[in-house]
Amino acid sequence: MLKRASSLIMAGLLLLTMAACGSNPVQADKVFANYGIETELSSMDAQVVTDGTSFTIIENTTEGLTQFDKNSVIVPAIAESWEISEDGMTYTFHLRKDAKWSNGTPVTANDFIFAWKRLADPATASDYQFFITDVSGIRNANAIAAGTAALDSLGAEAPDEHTLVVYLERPVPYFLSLVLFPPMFPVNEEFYNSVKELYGQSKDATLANGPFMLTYWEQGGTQITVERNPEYYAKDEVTIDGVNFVVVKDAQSALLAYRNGDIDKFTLTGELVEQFENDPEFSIVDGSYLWYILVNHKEAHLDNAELRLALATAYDKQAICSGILKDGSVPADYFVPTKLATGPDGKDFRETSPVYLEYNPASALAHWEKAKKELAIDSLEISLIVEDTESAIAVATFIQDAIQKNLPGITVKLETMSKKARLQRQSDKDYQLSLTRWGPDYSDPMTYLEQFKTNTTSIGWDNARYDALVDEVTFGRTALEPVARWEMMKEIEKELLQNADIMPVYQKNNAVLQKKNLTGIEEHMTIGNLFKHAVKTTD
Amino acid sequence: MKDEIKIETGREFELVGIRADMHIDKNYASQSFWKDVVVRFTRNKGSVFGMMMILLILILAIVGPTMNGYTYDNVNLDHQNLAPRVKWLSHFSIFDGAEKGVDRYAALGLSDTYYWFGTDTLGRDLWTRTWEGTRISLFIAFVAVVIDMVIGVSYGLVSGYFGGAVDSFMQRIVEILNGIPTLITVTLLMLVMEPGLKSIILALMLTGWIGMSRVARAQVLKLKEQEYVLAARTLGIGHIDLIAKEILPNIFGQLITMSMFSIPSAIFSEAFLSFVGLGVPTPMASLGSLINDGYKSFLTHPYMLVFPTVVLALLMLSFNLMADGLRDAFDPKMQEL
Amino acid sequence: MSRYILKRLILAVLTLLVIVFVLFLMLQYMPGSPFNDEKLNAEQVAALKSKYGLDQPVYIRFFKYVSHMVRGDFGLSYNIQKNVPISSMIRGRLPVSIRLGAQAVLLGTLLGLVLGVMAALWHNTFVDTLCTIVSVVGVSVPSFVFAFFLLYNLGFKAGLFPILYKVTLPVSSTVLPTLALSMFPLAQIARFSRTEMLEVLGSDYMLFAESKGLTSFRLHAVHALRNVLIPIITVLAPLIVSLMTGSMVIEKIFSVPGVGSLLVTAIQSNDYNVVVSLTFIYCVMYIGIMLVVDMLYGVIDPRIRLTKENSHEG
Repeated sequence: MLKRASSLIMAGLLLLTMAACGSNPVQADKVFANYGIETELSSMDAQVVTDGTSFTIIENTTEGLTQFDKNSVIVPAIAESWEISEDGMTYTFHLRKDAKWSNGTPVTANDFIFAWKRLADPATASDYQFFITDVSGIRNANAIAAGTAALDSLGAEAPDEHTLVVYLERPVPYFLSLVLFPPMFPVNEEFYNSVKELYGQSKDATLANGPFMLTYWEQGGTQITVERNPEYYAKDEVTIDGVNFVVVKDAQSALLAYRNGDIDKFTLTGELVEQFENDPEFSIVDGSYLWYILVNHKEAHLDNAELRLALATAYDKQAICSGILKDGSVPADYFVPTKLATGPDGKDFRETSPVYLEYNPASALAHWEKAKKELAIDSLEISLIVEDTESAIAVATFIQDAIQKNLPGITVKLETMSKKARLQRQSDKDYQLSLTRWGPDYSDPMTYLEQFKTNTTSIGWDNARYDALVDEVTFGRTALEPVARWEMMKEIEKELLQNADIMPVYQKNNAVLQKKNLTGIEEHMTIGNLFKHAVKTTD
Repeated sequence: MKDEIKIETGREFELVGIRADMHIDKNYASQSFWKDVVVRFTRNKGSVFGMMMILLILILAIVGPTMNGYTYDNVNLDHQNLAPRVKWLSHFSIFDGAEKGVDRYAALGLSDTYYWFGTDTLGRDLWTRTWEGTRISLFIAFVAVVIDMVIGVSYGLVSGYFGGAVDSFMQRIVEILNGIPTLITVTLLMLVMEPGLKSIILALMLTGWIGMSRVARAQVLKLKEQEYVLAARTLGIGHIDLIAKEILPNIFGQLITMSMFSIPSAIFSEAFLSFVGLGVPTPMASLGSLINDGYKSFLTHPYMLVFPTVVLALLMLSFNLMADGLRDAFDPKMQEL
Repeated sequence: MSRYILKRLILAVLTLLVIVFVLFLMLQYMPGSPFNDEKLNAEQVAALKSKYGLDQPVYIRFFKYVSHMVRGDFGLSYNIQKNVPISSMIRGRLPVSIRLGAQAVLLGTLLGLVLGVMAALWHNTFVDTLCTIVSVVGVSVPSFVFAFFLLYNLGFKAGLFPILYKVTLPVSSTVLPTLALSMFPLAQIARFSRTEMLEVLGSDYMLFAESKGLTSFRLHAVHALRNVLIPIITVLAPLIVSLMTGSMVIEKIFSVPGVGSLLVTAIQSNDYNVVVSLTFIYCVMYIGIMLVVDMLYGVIDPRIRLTKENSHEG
């Protein structure tokens, strides 16, 4: 029996070995860029995904109505031209006639309408539904999402195959920057119906209309390959044959793989950054995630402005950036990041806006003394929840130490947990302070500023003035007057920061190692790692 | 076998009473068992070394954090990533404060500053943190062994000894407990309890004893069919006496060896807990969390990993050597080989 | 024997049901939710929950889940791989993990047994010390440190094996992870078999067998080894299962597309169905291994089989 059992085991092992050998990607004599990513591809369904890796791969295979050029200026993509009505509420897009999907069918206006209806449809239950309802302002999107209007009532129509007319409920000055973001990408209805719920889940259930198409992807596999799309209308602009996205989760393994030549580009983290600061292959890529401390105004004492001001100015943001992160991140004495949006004056929002809450231990202490009097306390224990990533914990530990040193009497308790658990505590308003981050969804300051409306977020406050300002900028007359709107957004930022209702920490940048023979990868604020114009030479 | 008369285990024999004319041999007790153990233990060089080492580490864990005036939680970014430097050991390259030929102490103008084990990425003194961490890890290890001994051994003994339906039932419970990954049990505890030592101990209590109970059970299964156990039963000994006096002493060596293994696994469980966010709350440290942190800087500042790993390895080696000595001391047969 | 196995199998199914139910209950109270991104509003969260049936009571979800599972449908992933059936998520990963684990256990057990037995035969010699050192290093150096050491020296410096798992090289890709993973079982088994062997060598029946004039090889290979194997098998089963935890870290370092790293991600992102499915598979393997171990007992030690049959079949 022992013999039988062992032969069974051996047979089983053999089978498994064979099963693991499956099909392999074929790559003969082609020039591929190898890019190290940290997480697996989740899905190719642009209306459903939420994670960075999936967005990156979708952005390399699919094009929307518009796109960014090298300098992050909006230029035509699938739409070759467009007209905007006087009142800013009707957009007419003229689509290129040579745009095709990778199966040869042309990209039509209906592909966009179909995709947008999917996004608004409550049955899709997309995480990015807010993008078409709250953000884009397309007519009836909100009602469709709420289930009170039919799908067909969506404010977008196709007078002919290559014309798309979009009706908005209110002027949305940044609308053109919305349609280059994946949730607004087109989906071919006929193809979708041929695969139904499998759409986007394998390479065969995915279509591309952009520079590359997906050619290798095993469920759960640690390598994803895209290759040039022969049907792409601007295929002559693409010089590289394809990109391998290689999943490397461990930072040090990634570095060794980079030095070995297995990957050509990856993002450096933690201590590794310091070692490469002067390396010619090292560079800082501007990012737009803003890390800040969210304050629960419902918690005892945290509704006191003096206490918040004391806390917000008691930690040295510069030290956090240059001493802990070292990846080119910059101190955030603001909430709307730099290089996010350009105003009617042609200048970056930050250039003409003031800074708030600069590090100042002396005035922090003074605020704390006042707070002690106002609250009639002389010591305070406060909890800061933080997700369990290396950098978040290090930053939180530093803030904890700084507050305790600069504001004697305050004890900060750190609670580390998974990100999902932190977000749950936030939405349950079961927290005092939370170290969190926000990334932009479109190139306008409102992507940051509109999120704290009373009763919609975890900040737990009632601020009528803030609500009124946000409503005026979004729906009011000001929405149509660019200059006034710009000024009013500065007001909103001031409203948020002058009393430290939230406490900004830093604007995250990324430290990247990229081989010298790989160039031309484009980065923008809301989308990035576009390999369309990438060049890889053999050296 | 169907026709056999069934008699419940332990009920086959009945004590008829002790009569004066029964001769009980008491000669074996001429020298106390424990005195024997001590003599045999001290004769073993390895185990004495192990014991001394554990004592030394224990002392350092107690006084180490107060020896150089730094605290375990003081963040000082100006002093981050400083290599180890000891005044009277500075002619050794490990302790001269330089790393890859660069002396950052000199660059920072810290001519009279000495971090014996260097500093971490936040500029905290690693000497203090290492011994602070050892203290916590030792505490966790101690609790783990107690839990193993109390819960694991008794569970295994009962399950193996009584066999039959009791064993079957108890093993199903073990299977269920073991079938759910520790990671999930532990993550769940985060909701109920605040991260900290208490939750760690609770997490260990839930699953840590299972390995030990299996060993205890297997040993009992082996022993309970042996002639001397049968002999004891013939004399009408009760269940508890049989387990405590006849079976337990004979499996003690196995149990001690196994419990010495539960120390590293307890310490590593703790490191794993740190990884999922249920470990010792920052800025506290344990050997596990220090190794975890040090690993992340392994390519740039290897010393951060080296010291806690060396302390841990020494601790493990010592526990193993001591366990060996203990087992040999308890079981004199080994000496004759 | 076959009735005994049947009985065990029925018990195993019951055990699994209990485990799945306990899991469901536990996940109910797990912190976080699969749908709590900052960008979702309350209505959307409700819509998402009803789409995936999460708004129903636990017991209904439990029965639905089990009835689907019987048909091989493990449900959909909520957020790791949006809407992808879990069966297809696991199909590619499980063989990789099992192969890695099996290789590591085989290698570790064989080397450990050889080392432990040799250490016992040459008690208090160089071999014995080596065994102690190996077993101490194996259990006291965390597997990820050892893994990285291998990665750095054999993978990066010497360039013998790939650093990252490559689909094109499924065999050489698993060499380093296997070595790293086998360190722990090797140490445990070496240590344990040494202790056992010493005990067996000192027993009366060995003396008796020796006095019958058996050859040294027959003496050790047949009589001693057989008795050493029983307790080894006992520690082997939990060891195999513990490899799954170990593989979570190893899989991360070598970028191995296995289930260990998937479980970690699933727990962190509250992807309930993935957690339940993986745990279920893990339990099936565990219970299966335990069953095999209990039967192996009988093969190696007939006395145990006798008692088992007595107590179970009467």
